[in-house]
Amino acid sequence: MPILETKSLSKHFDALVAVDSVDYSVDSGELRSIIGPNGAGKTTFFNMIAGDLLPTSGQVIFDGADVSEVPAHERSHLGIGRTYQITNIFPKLSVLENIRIAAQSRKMTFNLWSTVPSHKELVEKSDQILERINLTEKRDELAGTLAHGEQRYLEIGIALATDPKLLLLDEPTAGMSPEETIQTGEFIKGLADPLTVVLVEHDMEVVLGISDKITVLHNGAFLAEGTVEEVRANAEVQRVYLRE
Amino acid sequence: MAAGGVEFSEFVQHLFLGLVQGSFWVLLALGLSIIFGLMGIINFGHGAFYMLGAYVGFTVSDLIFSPFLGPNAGFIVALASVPIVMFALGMVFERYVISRIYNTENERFSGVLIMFGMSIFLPDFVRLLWGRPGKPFNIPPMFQFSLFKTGTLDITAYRSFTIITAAILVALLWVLIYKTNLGMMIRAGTNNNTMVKVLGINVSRIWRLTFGLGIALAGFSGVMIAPLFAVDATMGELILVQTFIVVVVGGMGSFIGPVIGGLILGQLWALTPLVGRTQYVVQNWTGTVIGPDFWEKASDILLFIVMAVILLLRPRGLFGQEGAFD
Amino acid sequence: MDAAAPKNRFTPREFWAWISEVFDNYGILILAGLLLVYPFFFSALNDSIIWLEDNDWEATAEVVAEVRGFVPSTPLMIQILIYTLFGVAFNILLGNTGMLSLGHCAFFGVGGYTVGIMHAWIKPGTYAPDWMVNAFKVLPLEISLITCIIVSTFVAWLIGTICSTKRGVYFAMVTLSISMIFYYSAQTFDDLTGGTDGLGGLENMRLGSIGLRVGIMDANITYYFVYILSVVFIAAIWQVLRSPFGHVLRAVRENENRARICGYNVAKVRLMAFTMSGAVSGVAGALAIIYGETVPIENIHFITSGQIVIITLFGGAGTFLGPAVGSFIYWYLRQLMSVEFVKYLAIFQYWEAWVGGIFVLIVLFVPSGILGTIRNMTLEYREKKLLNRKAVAEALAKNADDETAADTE
Ligand SMILES: Nc1ncnc2c1ncn2[C@@H]1O[C@H](COP(=O)(O)OP(=O)(O)OP(=O)(O)O)[C@@H](O)[C@H]1O
Ligand SMILES: [Mg+2]
Repeated sequence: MPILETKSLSKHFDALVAVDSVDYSVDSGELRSIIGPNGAGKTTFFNMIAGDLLPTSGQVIFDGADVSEVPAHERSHLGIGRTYQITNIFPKLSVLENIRIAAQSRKMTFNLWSTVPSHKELVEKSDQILERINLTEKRDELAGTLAHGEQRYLEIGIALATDPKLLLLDEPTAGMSPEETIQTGEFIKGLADPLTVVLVEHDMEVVLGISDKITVLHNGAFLAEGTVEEVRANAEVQRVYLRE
Repeated sequence: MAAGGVEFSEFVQHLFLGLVQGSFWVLLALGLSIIFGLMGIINFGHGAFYMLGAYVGFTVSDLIFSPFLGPNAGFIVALASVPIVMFALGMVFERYVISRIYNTENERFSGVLIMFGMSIFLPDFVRLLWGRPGKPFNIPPMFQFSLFKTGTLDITAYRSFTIITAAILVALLWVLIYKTNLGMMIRAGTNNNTMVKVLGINVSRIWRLTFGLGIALAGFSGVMIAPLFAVDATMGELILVQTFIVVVVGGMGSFIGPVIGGLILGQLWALTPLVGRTQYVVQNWTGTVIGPDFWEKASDILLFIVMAVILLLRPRGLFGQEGAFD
Repeated sequence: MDAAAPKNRFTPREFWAWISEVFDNYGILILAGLLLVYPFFFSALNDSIIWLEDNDWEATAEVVAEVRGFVPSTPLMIQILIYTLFGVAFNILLGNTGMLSLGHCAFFGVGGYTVGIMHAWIKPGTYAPDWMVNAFKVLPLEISLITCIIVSTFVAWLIGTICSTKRGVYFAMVTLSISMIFYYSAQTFDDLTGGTDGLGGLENMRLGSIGLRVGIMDANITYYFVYILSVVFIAAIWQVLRSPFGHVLRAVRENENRARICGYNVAKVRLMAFTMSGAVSGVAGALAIIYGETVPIENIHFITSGQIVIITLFGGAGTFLGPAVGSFIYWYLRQLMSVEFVKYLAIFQYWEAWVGGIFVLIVLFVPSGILGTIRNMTLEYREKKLLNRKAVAEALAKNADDETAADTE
């Protein structure tokens, strides 16, 4: 059963059609990639799935339920987590706090009468995630002072701390050095299954290396979908995208 | 024919008064929008500068020129010189105060707070310079006649003059905003330095001019309204809040919003007291909290209620752009 | 090597860290302790003057009396306490949630008017219905205070709901506008509120449970009444701000969008913060009128909002105790200006001009406020020390490396 489905999902910005009637389906545990040239509508597509933007028309179906009109924070609770193309963290909170605030959202919002450190499970969970993203040593530093690559990892950590079933990663390797990029590819591969991961990525090596299936968007519309080999062989894709 | 105990002439008279009040709100709201559009600062000192304009006008006309040139010419000089003085003042203020906060952390909050500080500072400063009691400011003799008068209806020359002047100013502003480069930048609704810099324009000068222009508009409104009411240090308070309401109701980020908003609210404001004089209210509600006495004083409260309703039902205002104002 | 390293050595860095941690965590207790004994201190000062006079030390008595002019009196401390409470409540929004409300005069005023109106009118021969009058011989303060909390919570919730679609500077504008409806209503319904003359007739306010009279005539009793309530509410806010919810507030302040995607209902969080802030501000307003025994209409005017913004900013919006420092300086200076300075220079009677002018200067030159600036300095100091130590350690390590390298060669 697919965990995520979109049915003729569209987004118009005035006259501009950013996403054009896209049908898409992801099965649980898959690691999928979406590629496409700049302005293809990948980020806009993510925005509609996560709830940052409401679609002009069409449906987003998550875990069997239509969530097209559900507000973003509720989608997070349903199990959609995401990262952004431009790093989006709490720069003036400590690294630990960044993770903890995300983990806390699963348990409580309006708890006024306890203190955060008294919630042991919260502390443990944050520590585990810090371990996973390799930032344990920097836990007390302000997030904004981390190196770029570390901030990208922190953001993935924030998303992981919300226990998502589906993780949307928008160009996680943007701005990273070649070595970091390769590492990150491995890291992402390690996240998939039981987690479902959808990845938007410009780095072809990463995409070709780790994806179960690749989807190509062009001018907001669905262009092709298939395994690495299939997409490679697709003439149209080669024309618009894989030319070099 | 208006209902019950309200005469038709009375009704028209109130329409007229509403138009006068609305015109001033339109002028102030446009000044506010222009500053906001380019600089992203909501000018909480708008009312204070308006009040200052009235005082400057009083000084120019009553203290300096009227003794020599007579009250008519004195008033004309005041009307002409106040915008210039206030324009200069606005530019100086931008140069030495506001410009310090550009590109600092919390730039927008700082801007708001500085202007809010001015709205506390200026009234008392004016009391210090001009004394605590307000100043009388007479309608110049050349305007002391009525264009039309029957019974309770009195279309006075000076009020008509303010409406016409305001209309001309609004037209000029329209030209400025839709037909010039400066206007294009204001409409872009951005305080995005880089974008404007790309256009190869001296940004800081543009901002200074814009701020001066907004302040000049406020000062001019102040001196123009002065003959209708006494000049007083607190005269900018109520009208500041009313202008905010106009902007919220009309919607910021559009030219038409403040104009229509100001005119509609002006009518609402002026017609409210008439409600208390209708037969229905007199017969049925007298003695209750919302009896005739209440309606005489309810104009301002009603404005607030309209604003609250608009905020709940249509947060961007009647003509506001989506997302431009939240 | 390891065994020789001294244990538990107190480095200057740790000392500073310790000081600022103590202040962060226990500053509220220290302050509360000092304030607990303040009236004794002030009466002792008064008594000493009398004693000196009685013992023919006239000259010394005069000097001490002169000095007393510069020591905040107990009534002034009451005012300072009330505005500290108000500021701390206000700072739930400004410092912690990043919301700039310019409409807090509404809550301060509504809180005051609720208590004021109840005490002024629940009397025989007034507006109040008979059953209400019969229920109490003298209306106890507990009842009116509880009503005040309920009313100001409701008003805050209502205003918060109306303004909930606005952010940043628009929020400031809308809250200011909405708050002024209360001012014009108070003016309009002057039968009930006393209009611009203020609401009087509040001389006999008693705590029903112990029959104690509070008001301007009994400074010490009023002081402790205000003290206890302030401490209780400030402590409650302190707890809320360190609770998980407090962390959510700061997350919303730092990055609203991120907080939302983390699963927080940001609108609801903001509304909750606004409501709490407004409710406690209402209590502060009630305390102010209990102390003053009248409700001046200025309490509900936006200048009052301005005052509390200044107090909070001046003390340091990013710190918990900032409003206490701000409130002290604000009221102390204002008192000095209007009582002492004005003897020499008439322009000190225009205190609003001073307040507005100083406000602009603070925004321009000390945007973090007093405590904020001090804390930044401490942090910088700590950071610098840390960097120094790192540099030294690295240099040493490098030396050692060089030496080993030289040795192997
Ligand atoms: N909020 C918006 N308002 C107007 N237009 C928008 C908005 N967001 C995106 N667009 C437009 O929609 C189109 C698709 O943008 P989108 O960011 O989804 O592309 P993308 O595939 O993520 O590109 P990139 O690879 O550069 O990240 C672009 O032309 C963009 O300019
Ligand atoms: Mg993108």
